[in-house]
Amino acid sequence: MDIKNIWKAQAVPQADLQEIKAQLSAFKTKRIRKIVFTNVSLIFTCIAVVSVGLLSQPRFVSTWTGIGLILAAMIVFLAVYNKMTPVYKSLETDMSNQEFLQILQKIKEKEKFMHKQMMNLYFVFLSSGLALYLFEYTSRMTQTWAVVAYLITLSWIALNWFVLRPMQIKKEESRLNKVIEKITSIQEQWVV
Amino acid sequence: MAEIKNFDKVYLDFWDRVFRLCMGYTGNEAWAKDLSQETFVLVWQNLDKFREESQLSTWIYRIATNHCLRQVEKDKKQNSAELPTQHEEESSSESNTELELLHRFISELPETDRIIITLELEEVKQSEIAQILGLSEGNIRVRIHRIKERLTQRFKENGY
Repeated sequence: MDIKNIWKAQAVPQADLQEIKAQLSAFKTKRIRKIVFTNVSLIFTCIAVVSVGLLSQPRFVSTWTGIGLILAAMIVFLAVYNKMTPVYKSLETDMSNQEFLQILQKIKEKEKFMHKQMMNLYFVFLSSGLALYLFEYTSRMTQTWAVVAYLITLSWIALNWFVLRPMQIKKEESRLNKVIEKITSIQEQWVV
Repeated sequence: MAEIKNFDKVYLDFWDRVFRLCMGYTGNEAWAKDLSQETFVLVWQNLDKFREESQLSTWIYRIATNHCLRQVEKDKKQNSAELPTQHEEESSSESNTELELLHRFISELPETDRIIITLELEEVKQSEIAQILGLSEGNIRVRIHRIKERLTQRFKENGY
């Protein structure tokens, strides 16, 4: 059985320069779109936060602190995103397979750790920010309505903290664990 | 413009080899085509980083094999998990060509062995295969021998 001959006889789809050029162009567009989208959404968020500040003219320090914490929650997201970008850049595509997998595994482990930290910080900042932000406005309400407003907000925070947060952490962790497990199993193949 | 022209040549020279490599890894034509095209997008992105310290083929094969390995990040099931069951295999064996069988048997191998045998079938030197994978030449030689034995055995089991 001449395996090499069987292999060489296989048909290969024709190289299509136009198709690959279209792919390259789609790739460039996608990259530009991503940069534009990130910037536009950032600008809109800043405008929205500043508008809230200007329109509602908060007088309490707690309200400004609340706004600051909500912004901090968004910054946490950005900080993690920015911290991961150089890590991914260290993953050179032309490394040997062995080096490539070692670095990919480290990245995935770091990603797992950072995702958990980020989710915890994000929810702490967002929830405490929201609770503080509400204080000024609830203080102008009747006691009953203030209690209702806080009950609704605290229930939402509790739902986030006890249900959504662990769910998201678990989902991402399980995805990353599977990837890490798979990488480990490939690395084990290096041993003859 | 010179870079683009250069890329065109690299693409036309290496398309067949990269496609067969991806086909060996995935055993699935559509997936292999996607991976090959993505490999060339990576090649295009990194072309200015190629320093001629290694052979162009080694450089491209490394990009292609790393990209194949990176499929572990995706939810898409690895090919070996998508293989037909023994029963399906038997019922359709008459219509299978030798090439289909070869792809199936390669798909049954662990990921690194799939890469090694595909590169060997592409007639890449063992020293180059060693560089691509980051293993010693001796290790590659032993593995190629074992993989070939296993493939021959699988053909025998299927009446060849």
